[in-house]
Amino acid sequence: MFNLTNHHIMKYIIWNFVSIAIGFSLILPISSFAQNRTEEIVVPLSEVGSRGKLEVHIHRGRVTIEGSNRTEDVLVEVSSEDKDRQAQRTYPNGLKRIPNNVTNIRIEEDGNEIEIHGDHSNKVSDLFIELPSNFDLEIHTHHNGDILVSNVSGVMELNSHHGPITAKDISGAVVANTHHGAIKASFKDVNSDVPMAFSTYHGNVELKLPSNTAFSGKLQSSRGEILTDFEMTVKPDPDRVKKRNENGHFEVNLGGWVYGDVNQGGPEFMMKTYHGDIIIQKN
Amino acid sequence: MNRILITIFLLCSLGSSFAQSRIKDSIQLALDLNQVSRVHLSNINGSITVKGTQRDQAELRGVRTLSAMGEESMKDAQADVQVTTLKKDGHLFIYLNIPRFGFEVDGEGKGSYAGCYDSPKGMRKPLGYSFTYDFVLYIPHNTSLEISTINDGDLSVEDVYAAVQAKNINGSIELHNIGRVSEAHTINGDIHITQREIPTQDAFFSTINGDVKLWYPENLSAEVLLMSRRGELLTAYDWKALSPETEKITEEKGKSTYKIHSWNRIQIGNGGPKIHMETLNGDLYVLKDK
Repeated sequence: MFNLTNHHIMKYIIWNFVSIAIGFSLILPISSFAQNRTEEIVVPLSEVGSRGKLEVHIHRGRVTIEGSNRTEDVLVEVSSEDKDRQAQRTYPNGLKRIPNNVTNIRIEEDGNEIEIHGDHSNKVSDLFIELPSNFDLEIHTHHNGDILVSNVSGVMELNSHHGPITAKDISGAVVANTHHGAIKASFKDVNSDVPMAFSTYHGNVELKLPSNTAFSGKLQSSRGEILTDFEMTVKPDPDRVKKRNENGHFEVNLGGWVYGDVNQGGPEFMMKTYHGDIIIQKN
Repeated sequence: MNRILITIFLLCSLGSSFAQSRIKDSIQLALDLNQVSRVHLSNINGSITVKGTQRDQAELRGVRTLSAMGEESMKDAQADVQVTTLKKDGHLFIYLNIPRFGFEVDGEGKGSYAGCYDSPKGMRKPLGYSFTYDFVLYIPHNTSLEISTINDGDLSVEDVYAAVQAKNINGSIELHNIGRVSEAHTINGDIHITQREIPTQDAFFSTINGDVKLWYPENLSAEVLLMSRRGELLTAYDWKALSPETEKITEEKGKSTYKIHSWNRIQIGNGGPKIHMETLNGDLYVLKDK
């Protein structure tokens, strides 16, 4: 008797799981399908084979950049997703809602330099860009602004405000700046003479570097920890003691910066966060 | 005590000689539509109401309101604010022939108050009076029509089965039971249009502060491009999304520019002419006329 009941309960639970799973699989594709629009533009490069530069200036949206074995052109995909809460509403008199989610995007190519400009509307446009891997980048986004770069080799400036910045399998040098989100960068190779800077407010700063990378760290985490598996020689703050300021007062400045050399030191790598840890690891 | 009373009396009489005077009068004008393919009525301050009728004759009724400070100004006003008609190349232009506003007709059958824009010299001296003209126009059903006003009035047209165009600035546009409308623009006001026929040509409707509502026959077939900065886009028709318009411009020196335009493009029926609808603060509707 006891076994039978147990069996029934099990059956009940399994069926519930199955029906929930079927329910989800029915609902999810429909709602995501109806609201997305993607536009593809292939931009031919005018100097095939030589290094290019990509500049992106958008106000709302994710920027994903992938280095690939493309050589002659750059693929730009612009997708707009209808995130409006009104999308779920039903309207009287059989009225149907048309998603209001397209933004102006302007793409220019001139001598291997590509510039992408979006407008400042309240609509979200996500960009997916596939390009030859030898490209320099300058990326600016603000809202819904996750930045994801992978497999690109060049000098990169990555700026967001509301969104994490992630760079995977890159080589070269990076300056990354955001406010709400973590910064994670893993380098295959590092430019030996270029300083780098990574700063956020809410989130970790995590770097993965080749073990022979030589750099001088300038690190600050106001509310978190600084962790590394590199041998780091911590140095005193060079700006700590100022002799006398203009009023003749003696001034000691205990700024929260930690200075440390790795592999005898090199270009300065600045890493800064307020709520978050700084983690520097060997590849 | 007497002195005070006399002073008050003098002040009052002085005041009345500079007081604003106001005159309201009306006109009634039979219009000759012989060899006229299109009627243009261009107003400045005031409304226009047009009714299509079964009669062959056309008639214009106008109510003129003038207000001025002093008799001189009122005389100017009465002389200036006059309805004038001009027949040219199959067009009949009806307008106010106020010198400073400089109504002009170009070679393409368009009339406009050019003086409003390019005569800063004439604008230096204040007009000295203000005026509004409210018009009611009766025309045969099949007369093609172009109407405009600027301030203090709405545009409304009913039962005109030919092509209609309407331009306003500070007021709404109501066009109902119309053959076809190619353009309707305003800045502060709604646009409501009911069309008898399904469109065969491109059309453009825009406002800045207001809704645009279009009613079409049930079998509408068109490509609709919609843009609203802060509103919603709604339709009673079944529609399918088209990808946004992209444009490629190749400049000299090998620079290429690609643009993705921010029009939300949809297809209704089997597609067809392009209907552009634009607002900044308002909703856009494509509705079925039942």
